[in-house]
Amino acid sequence: MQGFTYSVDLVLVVDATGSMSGIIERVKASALSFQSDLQAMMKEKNKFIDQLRVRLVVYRDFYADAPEDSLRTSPFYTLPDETEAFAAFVGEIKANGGGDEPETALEALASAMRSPWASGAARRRQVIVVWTDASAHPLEKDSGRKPSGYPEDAPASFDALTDLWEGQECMDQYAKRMVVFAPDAYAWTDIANHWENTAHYVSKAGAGLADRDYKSILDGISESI
Amino acid sequence: MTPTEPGDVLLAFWTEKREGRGEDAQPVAAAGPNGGVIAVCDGMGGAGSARVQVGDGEVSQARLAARLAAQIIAARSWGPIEDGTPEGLGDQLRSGFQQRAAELDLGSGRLRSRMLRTLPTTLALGHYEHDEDRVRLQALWAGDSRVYVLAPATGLQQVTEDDLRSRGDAMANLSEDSPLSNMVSASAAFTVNSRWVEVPAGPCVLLAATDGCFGYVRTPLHFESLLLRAMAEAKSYEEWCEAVKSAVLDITGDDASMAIAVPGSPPWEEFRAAFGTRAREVAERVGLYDREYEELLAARAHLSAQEGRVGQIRMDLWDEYKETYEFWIRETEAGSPPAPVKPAAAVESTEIPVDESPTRMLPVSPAAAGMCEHCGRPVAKAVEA
Repeated sequence: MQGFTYSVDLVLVVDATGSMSGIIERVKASALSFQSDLQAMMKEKNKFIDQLRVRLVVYRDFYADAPEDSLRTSPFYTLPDETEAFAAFVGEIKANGGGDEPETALEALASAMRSPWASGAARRRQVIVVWTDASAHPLEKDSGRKPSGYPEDAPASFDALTDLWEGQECMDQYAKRMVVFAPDAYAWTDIANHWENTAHYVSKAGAGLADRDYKSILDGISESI
Repeated sequence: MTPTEPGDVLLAFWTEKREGRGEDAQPVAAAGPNGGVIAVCDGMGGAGSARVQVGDGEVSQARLAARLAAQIIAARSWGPIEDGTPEGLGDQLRSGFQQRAAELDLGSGRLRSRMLRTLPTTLALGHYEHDEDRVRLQALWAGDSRVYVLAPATGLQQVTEDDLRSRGDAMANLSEDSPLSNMVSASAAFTVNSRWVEVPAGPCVLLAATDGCFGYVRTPLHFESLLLRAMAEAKSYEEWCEAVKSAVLDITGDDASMAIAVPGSPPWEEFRAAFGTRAREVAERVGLYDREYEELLAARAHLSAQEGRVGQIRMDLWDEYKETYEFWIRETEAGSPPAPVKPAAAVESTEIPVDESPTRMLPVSPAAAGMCEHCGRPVAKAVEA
């Protein structure tokens, strides 16, 4: 019996604002275990991962925090060789700042989409997973007078962000998957309703996630859809 | 395997990768005197993995959906082939799926997604008629399960078009992993596509198959080769079907199901002989590819082994060499003054000086007898600390 070999890139987007303080440790644990859960699920389906890389995008709020605290990204860590460095980056995440919601989550999402995804393997997955307990600032907010340090390459509107996801400039149309653990708030509901290959678990950063829903999410990523 | 019906040979097989959890339905195969229906359904495990309570147990929506579609097809009364999708088929599927979803009280839950569906499945169906002159086949489908015609003169021909977002060809689909653009489900609109074809009367095969049968071969031609090689070795239709199933099981990583109809039921030996020339041609072409491919695999294996050997030699070389190479780094502190060097005359003197200072010997291979193993030059044998 044969199976297929996949190259999998995971980008984990974590809201690290103060309101996440009560759940940040659970989110960090989820971030650390997600790749092994996915790997196990794919193996069960005779899909074998020959290259697995993980990257972190940690965000707060450009409108409330210093630019260096508002968006922090890691390189891709190749697992299992760079597990320690990946775990160390996750370990350093602390929940603070952000002011009141919303947060600059969509800017972080754009950064995740612009990840240096692996290319070459015929069968691959580009997976973005978001954990947040808050809504997102509209990208259109304060157009023309953005805060200092605000990413120059951030999309100017939600439509432009949608183009990043649905177009082929950044994402592979067959390989892409996005899972959002977020409340029923802007812009997560719109993303789940309108973007291809996305799943939205309505909760504060995945709180109360049932096993069967988690399995459905992993199936949606690992299997053909 | 289904029993042979009067009029046509009907064959089918069904396998599941994990017992009791397969997502292909048992194939449908039914025939009257001058025609019949073959069909397969493959529940979509990625889009429909959510489990639902049915009776005493839980099953995935994908498994349930495939069986529901097969039941609707088997229960339907199939009249003469019509132009376009048969009257009411789409509506029957829609109402059947929506009714089942309502019975299951699936609810909305907290998971929202456009990639997850309620009761999603593929469907590939061949509805056919035949007379003395021709065989008419109408293929009906939603998703990436397929209906084929296999004839001695033309080989294997795919009649359905995979409903994939990639719209790639069959070769590209073997390596890509495109999401489906259309499938039967209770939660989204779907289309039952239709195409009908005619082939001249004579030995031919109509078959419906799920991707577990054709999705794990090296090229599309290899799927025809699989069918014809199994045919060449069989002594009856039933043996052929068993051999095809066995060959599919050898390569697949998925559930697999296939339904086969041979219109007119020609005697086995006559049928097999009709495909003899085609089987030899296909074997030759596939053989050419396979030989080159095996060479590629062997070259890759050799490269991988050679990389391993070179890597090991590299590390062994360094482990041995660094004993002398890193001597000063190990034995003296950085920044300390250099150790005094004895004048050459002192070494040449016939009088052996008595040196009270501690002397350390560099580790040198005995075989080298004072010569460097790598460059052949003399190496210092004793130095002062």
